[in-house]
Amino acid sequence: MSKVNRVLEYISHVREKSKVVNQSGLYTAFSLISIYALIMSAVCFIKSDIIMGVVNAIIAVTMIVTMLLFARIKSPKMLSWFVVSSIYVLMMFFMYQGGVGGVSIMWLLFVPVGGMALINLYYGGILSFLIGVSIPLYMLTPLHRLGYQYSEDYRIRFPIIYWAFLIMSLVIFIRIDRFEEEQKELIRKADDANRSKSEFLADMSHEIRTPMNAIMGLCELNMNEDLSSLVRDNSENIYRSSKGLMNIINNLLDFSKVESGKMELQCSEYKLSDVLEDVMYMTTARMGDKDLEFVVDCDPDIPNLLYGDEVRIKQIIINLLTNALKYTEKGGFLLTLTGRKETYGINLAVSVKDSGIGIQKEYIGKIFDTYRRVDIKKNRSVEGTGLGLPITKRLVTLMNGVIRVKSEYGKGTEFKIIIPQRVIDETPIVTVGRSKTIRILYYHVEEVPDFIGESYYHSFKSVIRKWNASGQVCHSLEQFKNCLSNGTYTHIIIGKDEYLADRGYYDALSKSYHLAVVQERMAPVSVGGNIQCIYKPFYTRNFSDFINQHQRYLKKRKLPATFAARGARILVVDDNLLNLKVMEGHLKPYEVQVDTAMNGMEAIEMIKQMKYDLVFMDHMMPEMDGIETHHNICLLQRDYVETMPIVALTANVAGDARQLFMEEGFQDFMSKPIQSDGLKEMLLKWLPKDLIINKEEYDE
Amino acid sequence: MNNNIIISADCICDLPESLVEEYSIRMLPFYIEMKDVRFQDYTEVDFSSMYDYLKQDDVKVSSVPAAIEDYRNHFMELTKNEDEAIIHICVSRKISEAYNHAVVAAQDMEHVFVVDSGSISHGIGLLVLKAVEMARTHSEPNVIVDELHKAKKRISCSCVLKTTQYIANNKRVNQTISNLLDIFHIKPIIKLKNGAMKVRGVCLGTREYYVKKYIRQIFRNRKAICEDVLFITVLSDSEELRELVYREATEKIEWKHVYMQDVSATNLCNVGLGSVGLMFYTK
Repeated sequence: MSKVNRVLEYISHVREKSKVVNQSGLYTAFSLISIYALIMSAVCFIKSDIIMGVVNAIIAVTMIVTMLLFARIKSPKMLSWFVVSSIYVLMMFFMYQGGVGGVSIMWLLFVPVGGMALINLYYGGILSFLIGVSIPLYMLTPLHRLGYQYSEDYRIRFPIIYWAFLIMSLVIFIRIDRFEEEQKELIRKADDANRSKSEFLADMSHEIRTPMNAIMGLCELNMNEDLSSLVRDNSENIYRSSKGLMNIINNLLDFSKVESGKMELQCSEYKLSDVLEDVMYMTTARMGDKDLEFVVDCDPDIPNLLYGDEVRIKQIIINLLTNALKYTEKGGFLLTLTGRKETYGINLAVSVKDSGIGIQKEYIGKIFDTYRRVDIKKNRSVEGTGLGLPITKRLVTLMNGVIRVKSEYGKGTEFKIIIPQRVIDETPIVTVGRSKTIRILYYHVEEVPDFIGESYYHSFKSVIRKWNASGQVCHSLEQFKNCLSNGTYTHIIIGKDEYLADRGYYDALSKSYHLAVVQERMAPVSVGGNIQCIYKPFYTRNFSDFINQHQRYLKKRKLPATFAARGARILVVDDNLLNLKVMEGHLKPYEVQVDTAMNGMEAIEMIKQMKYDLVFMDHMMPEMDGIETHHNICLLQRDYVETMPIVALTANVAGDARQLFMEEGFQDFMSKPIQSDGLKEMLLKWLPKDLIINKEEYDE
Repeated sequence: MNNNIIISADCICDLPESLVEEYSIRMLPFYIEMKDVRFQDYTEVDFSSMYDYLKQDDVKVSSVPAAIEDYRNHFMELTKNEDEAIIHICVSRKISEAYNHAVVAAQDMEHVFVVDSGSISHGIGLLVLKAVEMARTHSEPNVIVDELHKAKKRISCSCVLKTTQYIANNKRVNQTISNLLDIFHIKPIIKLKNGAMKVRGVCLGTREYYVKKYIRQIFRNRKAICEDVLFITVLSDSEELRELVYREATEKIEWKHVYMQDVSATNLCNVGLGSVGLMFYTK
């Protein structure tokens, strides 16, 4: 009984699956039958067998008409039955009529295989079964006398042969069906596992980010205090390690987003120069104690204002530079930016070339593979998850770009990416300030790898060309002095070591020339009053700014608090006490009045009582989450609620978190851990302008 | 007459980078169009990046030859000195518009000689090497051009295509025919004759079988083969296939130089993944 039930269950399952008829298969089968019938019809007419000729012609026409009818039937169920009945009628006709010498009945043997393959298992099975019942009914009863006269042996053997075909076909197709089911199940399981992995990563990201916010925030606050050198060192190490950990978490999250197809580009206008400045700053900071030369060779004619995903472009370049930094122990690395005009904008080409360990030929094809780090033995000491390059490649592909790599083992590697970008404004990245006769003398003896030296020279030439100026490069003091005595120069650029070799001489020279020293940003040497500094990495724009006499290249980056908003009231809502403390600490330099609430209800009550200039709202809180709290605030009968900006503050940055919060009515979104620069931007954007008082613009 | 001769070629001549650098051969890039963007071959995309792109599902790419303006700029950039002559070797004019573009661009430049290679890929490369060799012996540009026209008739340039979808995408074959060939797993052997692509046979069967059959067919008339240089192209990342082709191609003929070389992105997007090509001189 249970077996019968299982069979019935299986039939019901197959029926459920077989709702759709394989139309293209049927068209193919019917087309072949009609072509065959047409040919047979022609053959019969040639052989003067008029009756068979007409019969075959009728079959061909019927097939074609049936095919036309297929297209008109919209209901899949009706179509299935129409197909079954039309084939059934055709086969019965074949059996009745017999064809030439009774061979037409052979078509019936194709029905089980053909029906199950071309229609589907359920309807093909029904059709085969109906024919299987009809054959003995016709052959073994007096009915057979009506049509073609088959021999007695034929009438007994044919039904047996047909059923043998039918059973074999059923066995084969049921196996195929089960195999397909298993495959589908495996795919579904794999998809579920992948989805679970992404969800797990997103959850983990949130869970890790929340305590990381406290660690990094408190650490940053500590570092703003007067500390002993030991405590400061320790705090800095904790902060640096936390940042490293955040980097790994971000990479994992990015990768899960890319893999699940949830990574979306956030395109907007951006300045290439800003991207470059940030990238250079971050890379220089990461270089730490490594004695490497980092050069930026940027085509001065690339348009500066582009349209694309600035954050992701920055991420791509940083990933490539970090990779170069990791695998280069001596020499240096070069970042080159060029652009080629296209009808849609430019093809931005970014290349990172290093003098590092290089990649063995057999590993080059594998470097973009997920979680794979090539040449593990040699690179055991190099930190990393192996996700940087796979993410980079996927981001580049997402931007419709391409990435290529060239490497020579033991000599170095070059990654080159091409990203198509729209151009908003054609103004180039390096602009010429004023027009006057400029002659530049550049003195530099430092030994650097060939390609670095070339790029120095190339940058120098680019600026010279851009300024329509003339210039000379010297590699020895003697040559330098000769040039100075024989030529008229307006600007002199020298290396740090050259300056240190004879400070007095250059300090004196700076009274007659515009003189700049190229030196490290992280460990600058003090220079004479008239001497200016071009901070490394060596960069066309810095170079050009020196000639333009812009002061930008002299400045350090802005510190977080450069303004105060004394009259402003800010409400911070978070269920985590440490996070509230961190936020208060971050807001302290801005001299704003900060109120805190530890849940949604408390926040609503506070907003009922008072108007806030800005609200930072955590997302995940017990009882009432950030979104629900926001909705309830909006329902409050207070005229100031509509204009009160509420910024989502959350550790949940997975998938389309930003979009989710914006759709829910939040004015902005800020992710944890809180970054000083991000917070500053947020305050500047949302606090009333009349409450903001500028402090001194720069640190120095 | 001319003290210096600059040898230049379409980037699809597929010469090894080492030779390009050693002989200072100047390349003019073609273009690859994919989705809504366009990349420059040689400078922006190369074999590996194109290979990765083509491995994705449902991608369509097509190649575009350099425009007249590109040729003009290229020639002008190369001719800094009046006493320099440029010999530019183009892909066969029966395959691409490139030659016509180059001729129009060079019509006002007496010192620019444009040569129709009547060939593709390494077939052009063989002519470029010939031109370099002659330029080094201080031959006159006219003499070099004449010699190139003679030499191009001796070049055997062929390939077997794993699929015809790529040449169909580039409108070199009807899409329906291409689909039919693919349905029946028919691999056409394409050979250049008088500068035009001709189907010289078809192969069926497994990869190993059809590759062997193709190589044997191309090397059938051994006496006519000049055993000097052989360029082998295998558009696949399968080391097994590369080894198989190398073994088969060098088994019975003792070549003086054999270059196993990837092709440009343009050639890859025209012949497609899995194709195998052989280029050499005949006697």
